[in-house]
Amino acid sequence: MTWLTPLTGLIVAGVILPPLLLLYFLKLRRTSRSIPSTMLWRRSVEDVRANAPFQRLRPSILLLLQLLVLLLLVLALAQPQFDGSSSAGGRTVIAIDNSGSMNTTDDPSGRTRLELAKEAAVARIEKLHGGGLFSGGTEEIMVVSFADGAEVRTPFTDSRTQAIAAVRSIEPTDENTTIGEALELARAFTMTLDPEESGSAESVEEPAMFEVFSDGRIADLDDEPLRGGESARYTVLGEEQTGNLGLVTVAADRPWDKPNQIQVFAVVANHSMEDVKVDLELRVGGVARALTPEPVLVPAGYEDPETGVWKPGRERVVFLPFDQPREARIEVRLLHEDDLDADDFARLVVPSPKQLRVALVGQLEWFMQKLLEAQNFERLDLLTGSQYEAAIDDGETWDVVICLGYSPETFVPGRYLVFNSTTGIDALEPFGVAEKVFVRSVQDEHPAFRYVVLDDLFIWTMPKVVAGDDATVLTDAVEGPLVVEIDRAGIQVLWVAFHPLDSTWWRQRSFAIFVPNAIEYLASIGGAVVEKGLSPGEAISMLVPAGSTGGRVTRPDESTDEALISPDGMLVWGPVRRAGSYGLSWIGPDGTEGAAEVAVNMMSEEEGRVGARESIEFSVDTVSGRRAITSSRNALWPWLLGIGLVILLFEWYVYFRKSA
Amino acid sequence: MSSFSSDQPRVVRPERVDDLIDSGLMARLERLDVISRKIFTGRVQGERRSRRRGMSVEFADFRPYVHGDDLRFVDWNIYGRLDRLFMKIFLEEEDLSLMIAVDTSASMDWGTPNKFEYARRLAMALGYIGLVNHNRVSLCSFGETGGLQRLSNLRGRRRTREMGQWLLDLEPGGAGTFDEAMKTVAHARMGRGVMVVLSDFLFKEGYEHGLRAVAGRGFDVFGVQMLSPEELEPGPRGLSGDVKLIDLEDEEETEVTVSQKVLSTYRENLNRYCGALRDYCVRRDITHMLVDTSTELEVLLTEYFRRRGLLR
Repeated sequence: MTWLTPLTGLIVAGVILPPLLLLYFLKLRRTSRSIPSTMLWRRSVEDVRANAPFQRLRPSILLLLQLLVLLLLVLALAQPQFDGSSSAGGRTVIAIDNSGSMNTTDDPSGRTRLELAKEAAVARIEKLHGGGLFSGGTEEIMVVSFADGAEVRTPFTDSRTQAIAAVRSIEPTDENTTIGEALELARAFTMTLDPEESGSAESVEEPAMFEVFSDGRIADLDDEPLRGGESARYTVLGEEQTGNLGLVTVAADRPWDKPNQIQVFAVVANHSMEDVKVDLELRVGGVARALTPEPVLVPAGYEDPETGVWKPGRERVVFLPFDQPREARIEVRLLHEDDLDADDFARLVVPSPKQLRVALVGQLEWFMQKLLEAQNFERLDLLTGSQYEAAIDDGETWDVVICLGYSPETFVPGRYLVFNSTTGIDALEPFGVAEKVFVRSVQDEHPAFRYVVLDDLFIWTMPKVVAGDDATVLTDAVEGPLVVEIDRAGIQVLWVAFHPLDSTWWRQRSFAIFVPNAIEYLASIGGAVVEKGLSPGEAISMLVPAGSTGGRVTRPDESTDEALISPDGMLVWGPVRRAGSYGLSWIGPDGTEGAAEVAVNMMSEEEGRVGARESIEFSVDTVSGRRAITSSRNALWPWLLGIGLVILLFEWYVYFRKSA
Repeated sequence: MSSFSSDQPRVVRPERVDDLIDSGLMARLERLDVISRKIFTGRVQGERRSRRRGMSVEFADFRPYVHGDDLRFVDWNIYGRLDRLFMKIFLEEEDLSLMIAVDTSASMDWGTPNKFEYARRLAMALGYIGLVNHNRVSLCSFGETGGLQRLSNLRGRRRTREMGQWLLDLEPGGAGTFDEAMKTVAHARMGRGVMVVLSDFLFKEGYEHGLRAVAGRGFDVFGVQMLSPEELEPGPRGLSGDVKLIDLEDEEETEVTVSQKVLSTYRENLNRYCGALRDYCVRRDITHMLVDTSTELEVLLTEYFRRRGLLR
């Protein structure tokens, strides 16, 4: 036990105790009362007192109780505490995980891990600062929250109040967990440049201690080694055995041959060690539309014995297609109670069926014409390059433009599927020609490559390019990128390096699957087909009529915020932090009001695994976790004050009993 | 407000005779009369029996004739039968002397209701009863202020206002002079009869000599001891804590820490004191009556005093 302010207690004791005893040595100051005669009071009832100002101290329960109260008060002012290790007087970075898994409520108190983490962090700050009412500390504390990104809640401060307020300001999110940005931010504040050694970032301060409050499910820990002199401390929130059942995929689609119908798919992941049966409910526009005919059995998860990687049990659920010719707000819900609610439901917004306007520009090859004519487009225009440019000049627009062996010098905002041309595409830099090329890898999870198998694709010749930073390679070969996705300022391009006729692709089934997939994917980016759900941490980005103003976003909790709209009509807001439905609104150039809804779903297998880790590994450094202690020091003074008050009440009782 | 509170309650002093006794009470009191357990000789023929045998129609006794007796009262019928002379003795109706003594010491001017004011109203009521019954009513007050004051020989209803005004002029204050006052009254030979002493009997020098003086002079004495509720039950009436009690008469101070035990001792002391006064009165053939000043005056007169034999 330690005393935080013993001097205060001693001073108060010195000031208060002697006067109290003096009061009892002195004769009582009595209230004068006139009565008819004192003769009846004189006999045996009057207090025997000498005329001297002082009297002999007689045993008095009141004095005893008052001394006891004062003793407790003095002890309370001295602030005794258990576990009184003093602070090191250095720098500490409090890093608190506020990702989706921290919303798990597996604590018996029913509070979320984040609430417990904040409480533990506050207790830690108070411990580092000494924790007393009249005592201060020299510890500098920085508070950072981390999920998909990191946010500095307060830079290094020696103010306990500021640090605690920063901790309390951390709000929950449904994002994934990464710690790299938090470490970089902390290091940026820890390291200071030495002006004498220009050009080198030299630390002139002692590196800080990282205090991580998390459940340990951090995706990028392996990539973040601790540097020399850095140390970490890990406080575990949550239980290792906590299981969870969550939706990891929900998709809604209108079949191409029945655009008035909607088909919904869902995948459920089981992160527990036991099989779980669960019912799924499908709601459309807030009204229950379907329920799985019998509970779906989701197998238990397991750890791969060879790799040690956790594999959650998965089960697919397909709801029967239903008629929905208008826009639909789809919600899939797990009818299951677990400790994490955010992944038990997912929402999608499916717009009204819309037939696309598509243009084929450049080389109007017959196989491509036949393929496109077989699609159910509203309009298909076959144009040469010059016809296309003339039409653009006239203000003509299409949902998707397919360029075969051609691309315009200047792309206007829109969505393009370009084959075998680099003209006008700054993100690609051609540097030669490759021959006899085989596919090396395919990102088959990309919507454009759904059900697309490229094992038999052989390319006789194609240009070799270097993809820029804003280009994503979806398929590549040893010789270079084969399919690249480019997204720049309202222009989305799926670029295919080779001409189909220079390969075996045009006569393969995968080509007939890829082209409609690509068109549907490109159309969906602009909201033309289906507005896919977003994940927490992503930004809302939506194409609205160019020249629109007054963009606003309504969060799931009905609060609103302003959204930016670029001159070319791109409404941007974010990143979104919580799952739910976000309403968008804007005022078009012609004064009409536009509105849309975006669903944000927490469908992450990483965040869905909520079992806490007892230790974390910063690359090669293992940090063992310690359990969260909400109050590292058990302050005794409130108890002493409380006991003092009880005694005071008892003293009143005794006094009134004596005087009554 | 209790008399124990820091601010003494303001006493409403009567300013007119009507304030001492209202017409309603007067009407109800006219049915009452003062009685005495003793039969006294009055000065004039009145409305009550006297031991002085006389001319009234009520026969009292016989006694042998002695020389000098009035032959008119010889019972000649007995003489005819027994051949001996016997005198017929009749009870002569005489007036009754009613002496009301009011204590005006400082100790009386206390309590809620105020004891002095209660005593004045009671004296007024008793005196009125005496006057309407053609008794000879005398009043005296005893206290340091003004010493012994007297108003003697009032008779008849028309003296009511004079009696009331005398009572209104009384001023309370100072120490009690009970012994001296009673001796003075006893030696003044103001007439024998019923004497009512209205006092709290809280005399530090004692009440024995005073009572003995009047009891031995043929008075039928009624000692009405008036105590306020605060004196009877000081605890529930607000006396608490550490207090310095100051005697109203001699300003003697007594320091007391009021507790349950102390209050219990006080009650024992009070009971013992009142019991001693009652015993002394019984031995001297004095009627002792303890009156709580919170008792309604009409109830006191019509029930308690009738029951105790002062009124009928």
